Amino acid sequence: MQDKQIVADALKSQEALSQFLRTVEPFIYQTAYYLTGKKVDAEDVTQESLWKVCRSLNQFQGEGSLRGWIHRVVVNTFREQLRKRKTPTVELDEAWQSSDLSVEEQVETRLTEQSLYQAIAMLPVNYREVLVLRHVHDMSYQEIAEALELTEAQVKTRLFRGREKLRTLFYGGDPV
Amino acid sequence: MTHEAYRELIQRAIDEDLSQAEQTVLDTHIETCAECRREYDEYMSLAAGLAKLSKVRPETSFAMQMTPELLRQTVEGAAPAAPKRRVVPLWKRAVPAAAAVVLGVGLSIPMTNGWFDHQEGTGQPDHVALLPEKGQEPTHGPTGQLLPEPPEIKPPPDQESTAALTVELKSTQSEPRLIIREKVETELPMRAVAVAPSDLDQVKEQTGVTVTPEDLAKGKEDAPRPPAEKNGDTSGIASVDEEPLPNDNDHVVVVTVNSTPINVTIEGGRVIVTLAPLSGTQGGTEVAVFELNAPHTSNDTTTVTFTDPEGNVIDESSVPVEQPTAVPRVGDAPSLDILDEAMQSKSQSDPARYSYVTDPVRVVSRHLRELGFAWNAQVSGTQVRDRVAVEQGGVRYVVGLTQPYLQGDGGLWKPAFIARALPVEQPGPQERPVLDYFRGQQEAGVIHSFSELLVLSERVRLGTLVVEAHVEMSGPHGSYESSRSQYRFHLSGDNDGTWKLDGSPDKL
Ligand SMILES: [Zn+2]
Repeated sequence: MQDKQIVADALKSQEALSQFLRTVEPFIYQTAYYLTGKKVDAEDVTQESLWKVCRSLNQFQGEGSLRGWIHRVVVNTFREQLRKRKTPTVELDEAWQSSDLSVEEQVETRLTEQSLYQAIAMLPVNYREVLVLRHVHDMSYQEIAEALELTEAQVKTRLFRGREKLRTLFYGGDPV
Repeated sequence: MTHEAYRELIQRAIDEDLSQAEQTVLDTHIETCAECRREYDEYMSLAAGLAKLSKVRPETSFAMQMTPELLRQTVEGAAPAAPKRRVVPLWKRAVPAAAAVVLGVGLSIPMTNGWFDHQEGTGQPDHVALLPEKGQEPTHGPTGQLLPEPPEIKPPPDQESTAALTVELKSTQSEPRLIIREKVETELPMRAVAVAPSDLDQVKEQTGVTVTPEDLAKGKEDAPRPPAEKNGDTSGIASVDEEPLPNDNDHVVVVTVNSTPINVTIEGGRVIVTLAPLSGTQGGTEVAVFELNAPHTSNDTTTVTFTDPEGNVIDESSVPVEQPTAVPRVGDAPSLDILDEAMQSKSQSDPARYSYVTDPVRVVSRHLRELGFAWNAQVSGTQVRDRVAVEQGGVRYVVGLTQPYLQGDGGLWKPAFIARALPVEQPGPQERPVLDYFRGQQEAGVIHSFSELLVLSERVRLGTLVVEAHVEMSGPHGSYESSRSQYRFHLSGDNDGTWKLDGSPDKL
């Protein structure tokens, strides 16, 4: 089914729209979760993104993929959240508190899902966005380029650097 | 091929982007090159870890909570099938006119199964179908070009040859600071663009010129500083010689190609950069990178307009204003391994280079990012040498340092903990009962006074806060004894978001 058709179907009734939003919600949340590195922030971004998707779904024209379009909304919402944040939050996720080790000690020990999650959250935003789309959603270079309005070369540079940073963090080697 | 080239192959291998031939080249190489083999293995373990990231789900569904009214508006708004005048939402800039990528099975799978979901162990991940099919050439739309080609501009009549690279500035309010000037072999048309200081990657990607954050920082040290405001109360405060400029986040990086800025004016919140073309750059392209102090023109962007000498607009860049996004973790400071015993001896044998380690303020300034602070946080000394204040986003932190190897003047300082000042004027929900506790103690006469409340560690969800306070107690014969004491507070939260003390604090 074409993306435009999916959107047209979703816009047929309130029930269909609600169903559509519920369908895309987990996927929006996953992006937000790995972008923000914090559950509370992920919830904020998810809520705001859903609202935006709902309000502007009827403007989706089928240029680029629907998935990329939704991602652009999520990433832009995330960026807005970063900008708006006047005072840094002190809320820490449970996981960060479960250990008295410093962040670096926790991250550098070994590659676990938790340490990876934390390490991703510490990457520069540019790298994080690309990495999340690539690995959490298995998007292609081209799809990421569309979603983030970058060239494929830029996507690759950012992705490769982000992964290089992660590799250095977990396995040592030349600092990036 | 260089190792660097193999590195790229390894990276692309993770994404299954290699052709059969490339794969063979890589396989052959890593059979004989131990270094690349090790990297390959590391990258593959990392990729495996990334692939296994769990598909988290929100605890509550916001979609379920969307009001029927909102849904109805959207549905009814969409009723006319023919698109009317298209409203481009603010967050959606010009979209590349790429052909639609067919979603494949996409939404036709049962919706409850999760659209983009791939659950572990279900064998066939749904997402595969969502990618453009292999063999089907993906359509490349014109993606966002950083440096759009501007219309050709003529050299100003009174400035026939600007080959001499003097940057003559008239009536400037802001002087571009040259970071790097380089000739590149690729022929590029005359262009200019402004990017955020954190987005230096783009400079490299578009022009081939590498600019690092260090390049930006390096020039900053040499650049003349605005006269520092001298406050009267500097007694006992360590000298602050690496304090960042007050409005560091108002900088943009301007890249010029075959042109040079001849004037910068800031006019009604707009930053206008006048460019003159460079002649006499045959056989290559000249790329220059400047840093420009530019006030942001709105809350979140700085708009930089490039014009030719006649005032015709060539291009305009919107640069996001960098906000401090890093938030340090209160508690033990990240261990800065570089500040080890070897560094202690280096600081003695080569003081010209490494003496910074003997100054706590400079140690913190130098390792700001590694400590978890934003790059533009403000660092200053405090009344005591082993504590350095860092302010960012309106929050004051204190970094405590120790001298692990050598005490005294020549001793290296190493950050030990990061604390957050408890804002007495505007305490947070968990901090209010703590503040009330100290006030109560004061009223009851248990303590004479308290000050300098610092949160040393916080377990927000568990409701424990370790707070240090400088307290004065009444001693014998009407004297006061002052001390720094630490307390662990236990708090319990109510449904309405307020917190109260759960028993008396433990004095540590
Ligand atoms: Zn090799």
